[in-house]
Amino acid sequence: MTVDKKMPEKSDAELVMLSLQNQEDFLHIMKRYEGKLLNYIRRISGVNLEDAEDILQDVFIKVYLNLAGYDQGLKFSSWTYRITRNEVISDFRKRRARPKVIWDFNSEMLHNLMSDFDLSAQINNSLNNEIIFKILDRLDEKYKEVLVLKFFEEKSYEEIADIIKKPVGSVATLLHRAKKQFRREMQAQKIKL
Amino acid sequence: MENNLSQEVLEKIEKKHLSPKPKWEFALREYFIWAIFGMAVIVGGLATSVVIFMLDHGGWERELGFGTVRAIFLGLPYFWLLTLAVLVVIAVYDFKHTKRGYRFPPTLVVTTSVLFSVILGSVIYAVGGGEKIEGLIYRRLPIYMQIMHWQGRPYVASEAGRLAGVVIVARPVERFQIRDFKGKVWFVICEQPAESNCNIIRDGLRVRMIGEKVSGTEFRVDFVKEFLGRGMMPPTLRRDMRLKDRMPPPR
Repeated sequence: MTVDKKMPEKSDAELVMLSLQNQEDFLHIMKRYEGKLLNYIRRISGVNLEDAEDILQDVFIKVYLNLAGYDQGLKFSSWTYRITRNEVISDFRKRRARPKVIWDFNSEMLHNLMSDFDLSAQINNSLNNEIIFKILDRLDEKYKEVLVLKFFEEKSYEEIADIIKKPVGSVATLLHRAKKQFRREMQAQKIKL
Repeated sequence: MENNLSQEVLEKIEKKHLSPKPKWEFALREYFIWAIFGMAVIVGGLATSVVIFMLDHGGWERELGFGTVRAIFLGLPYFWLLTLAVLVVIAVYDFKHTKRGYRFPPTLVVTTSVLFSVILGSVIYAVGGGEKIEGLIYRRLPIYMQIMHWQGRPYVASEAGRLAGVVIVARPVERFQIRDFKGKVWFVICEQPAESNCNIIRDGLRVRMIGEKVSGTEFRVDFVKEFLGRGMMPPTLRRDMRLKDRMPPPR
């Protein structure tokens, strides 16, 4: 396949239109989103690379089949993240297992999270990071999901709302409750960071 | 790795001859969902019109000797309120499955759905639709008829001077017959048809009456009213003249 150098300049919506007319143009959409979605899948599921790639393949096929149904009132990335999330859930339902979130924060992400939780002053060493990840692991699944989208995937409230199909207000509430539960867990474990 | 994956997916698509679903499939799905939502709201409106009708034309419980609290609970149109609740749930669930329905808070969707039904129901009631729908469902839906008869049973207390049921033989109006809501047949003696409002009597009409038990199967009526629907009070039986003031308290 010859590489069209103008493709990277095209918007997602333009690539969708082109892919609907020419199957091979769908390759450009996949290349654009492969890395991000693969990381997202691994982050929210804890599966190995091979399994994550299998899931991603299913995601892309689903995206392709439903391309004509893409609502342009939505960001394309939100739409693909939504399909990816649903595919991960579906995959785990088939296995009758629960996905495990991988908290591979870098320091900037961790700072953003703890700042949002009004706990930025407490981060000072790697031992604390381990404790933070342990507490995050104890949070309810619905809170973990929005934390990953906000602090790992750096999605806005509106994007998160479109991905998990809830009102924006509900997303804000979930993040607020995640903060409260985090603090409760800290107190319950008598942890001082 | 990344190049292989994308290429593999493309090859899979080509090999399996996959193609995007046509746009009309998505449009059809969306129309279908909106159609269900619309139907739920419209039927909700019909149910609301009946609720308004039954609340507006109920009453008389105090005159029949029931206490205030019991009077309120007796008069509630449970079947229609439950129907309305189910329809609101369907409308809300359906709305959330539209393309952008999830963006709206559930309370807003519920409130809007109920509001639509109330507005539509009020209009339908105002043109007489509530009464017609209730009558139609009563005649055509056996389970609803049974529910209404069961709800009417507390009004059957001949010893206490009240009776309620369905007219089975309307003529002569001076001695018509009813089957009460407990299943018993009565001969109803109407000595002054005009004053007692017996001129409303027709076959199949649901009625409730104030009067006096004459024998095991006879009841002399002072005043008869449609069980649901307008019935004029005679000058001699004012709204504030409660039955319980004249008769022993109901059991």
